[in-house]
Amino acid sequence: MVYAGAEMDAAEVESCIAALPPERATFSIATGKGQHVAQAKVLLGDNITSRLRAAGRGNAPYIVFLDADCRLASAAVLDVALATLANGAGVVGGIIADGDSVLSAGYAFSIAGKPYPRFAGWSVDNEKVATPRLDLQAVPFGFLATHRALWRQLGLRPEYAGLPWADVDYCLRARLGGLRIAYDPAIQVQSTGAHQQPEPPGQWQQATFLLIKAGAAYDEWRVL
Amino acid sequence: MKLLVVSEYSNRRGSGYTTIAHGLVEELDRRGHTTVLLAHDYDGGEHPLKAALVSTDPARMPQQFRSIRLQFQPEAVLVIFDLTAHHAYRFMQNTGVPYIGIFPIESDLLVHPSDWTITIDTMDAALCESEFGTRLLLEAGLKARHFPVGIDSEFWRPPTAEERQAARQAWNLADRFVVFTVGDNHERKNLPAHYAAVSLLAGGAFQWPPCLGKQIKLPSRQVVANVHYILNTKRRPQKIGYDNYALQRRFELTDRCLVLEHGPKEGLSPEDLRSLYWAADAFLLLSKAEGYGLPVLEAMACGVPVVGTDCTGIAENLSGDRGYLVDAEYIHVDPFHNQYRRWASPLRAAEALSHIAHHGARRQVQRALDHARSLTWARAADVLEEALDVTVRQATEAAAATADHSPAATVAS
Repeated sequence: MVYAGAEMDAAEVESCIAALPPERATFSIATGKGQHVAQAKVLLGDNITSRLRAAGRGNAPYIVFLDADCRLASAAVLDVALATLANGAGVVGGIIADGDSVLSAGYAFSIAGKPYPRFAGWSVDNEKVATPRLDLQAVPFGFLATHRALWRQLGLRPEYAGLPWADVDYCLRARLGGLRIAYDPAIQVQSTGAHQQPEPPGQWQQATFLLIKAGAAYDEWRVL
Repeated sequence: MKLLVVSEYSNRRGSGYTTIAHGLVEELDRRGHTTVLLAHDYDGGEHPLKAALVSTDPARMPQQFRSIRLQFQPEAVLVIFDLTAHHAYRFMQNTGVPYIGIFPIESDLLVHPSDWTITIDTMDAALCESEFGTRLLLEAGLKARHFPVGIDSEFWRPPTAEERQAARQAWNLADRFVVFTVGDNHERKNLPAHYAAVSLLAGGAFQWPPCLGKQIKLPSRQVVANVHYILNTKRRPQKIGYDNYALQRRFELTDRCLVLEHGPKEGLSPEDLRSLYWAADAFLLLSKAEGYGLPVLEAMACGVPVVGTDCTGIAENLSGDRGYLVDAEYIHVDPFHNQYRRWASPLRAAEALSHIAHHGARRQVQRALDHARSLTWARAADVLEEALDVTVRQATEAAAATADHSPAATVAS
């Protein structure tokens, strides 16, 4: 299941589908606008509602979230993600890049409990960026692959509606359940940055508080 | 060994502590130590270190230190800063993790006991950046060891002819004789003496010391008419500091000066700074006191002849005919008798610069290069590792002794 952001138009959805390997054509696309696209099941609603509804349907064993402005760097990306999930990881993320520059390589957590994108602005070829890890606490919805069964079990908590870092909350709860949050640099998606959601002003403290309650730990010294 | 390093790391500008932290941590990484570097001024940008580099500031530091100490369990904490910062970070001492401090002593006198010397005295190992500072500490009865600051001689190296030409073109210097200075806008740096020396070199004449002295000037045969001065410094702080533009006017240098003033967290990249060394014909540093004077070493490594005050850290590098030492005209001690200040003679400095302009300084430059190349980070890391071995062993023995005398052990015996 692929989630595509609400702002995606029909051409972008088509383009997104074209970037996916044809043998994995049994996916849904939740655009939030209701466009019907060939090979895609389209769901209505805002971002989070669309994700929930989209994820709740279908029977494929894995779910892949992909932001509207992101494109898979190659078809092999999905194979890597699914293989990592099959090897026992609960959630898998990768590099979200703008050209050769990293936008995010998973999250690191500051001493204040606030997550921030690891290695933002670094080169995708940097040795640290190119090192796989199994010990992150969270990866962003920009590209996030997980088990459908886990998603059905954890879902998204309603108190996160409209708040940033719903993805972080999901990952933290998966981790508390004993599952690994993996980061694999072989998974690379390109973002145009056109649909990036700005952090709602004044809400990060509330979100951070929720994340600390959810078990976020200070880890930047360990994962940078 | 697992090490927590606390220092400064600016990946947008050159700075002394960044240079030391970078060189040392890189060498420690190479030797297989696992390091986490908590760094002031770090903006999260890309860096080449294998160590985890974490941004910090005084407000976050205590919490970060506590958390990292508990989770990472470093075998030692290494703090590379001035003594004001070491004093502020004394909460890292006596935590059961050996505390190793690397610091400068900027000037004599050394008042003991004082906040600073007590801070040094309570370190598990005190490593001073200069030999003169180490000597002062030992004379005061404090345990200290000289830490030989290194320099990356692959980066800080003399330019090829093409590189020098390109650097001079980039800074639009044509055929001028370029005198270069790197120094903070700080009382110690004695910036007026630099302008005075360059003005004399250009043929200027004025009363020195101002209002008190006699008229001074160079003989006409020593004048260098095409001299140009470049100063890389900080913007004047709001309340106090040198006004570079007033100084240029006072010494009639407005048409032959390039002053690069930077804000508090701004500055030249190491590459741009190196291009200025490469473009320069001489380097001038007339500080009244220096903890070490890293720019002097950088200039030496880049093959630029150096003229500097005969004092503290500067003299250590330039002695042995590796540069031109300028005597102090007079020495004053502050009203509370805490520190000496050595006021270098601009006339003597101008004479040295004139000698370089007219006769070159091939012998001094070669000796300076040999000296700079001998100051490797491997040598610095050797000293640190010896200190680590001793302090970690002592801490382990102390912990074992405490365990032997614990109530449980006493009852069992």
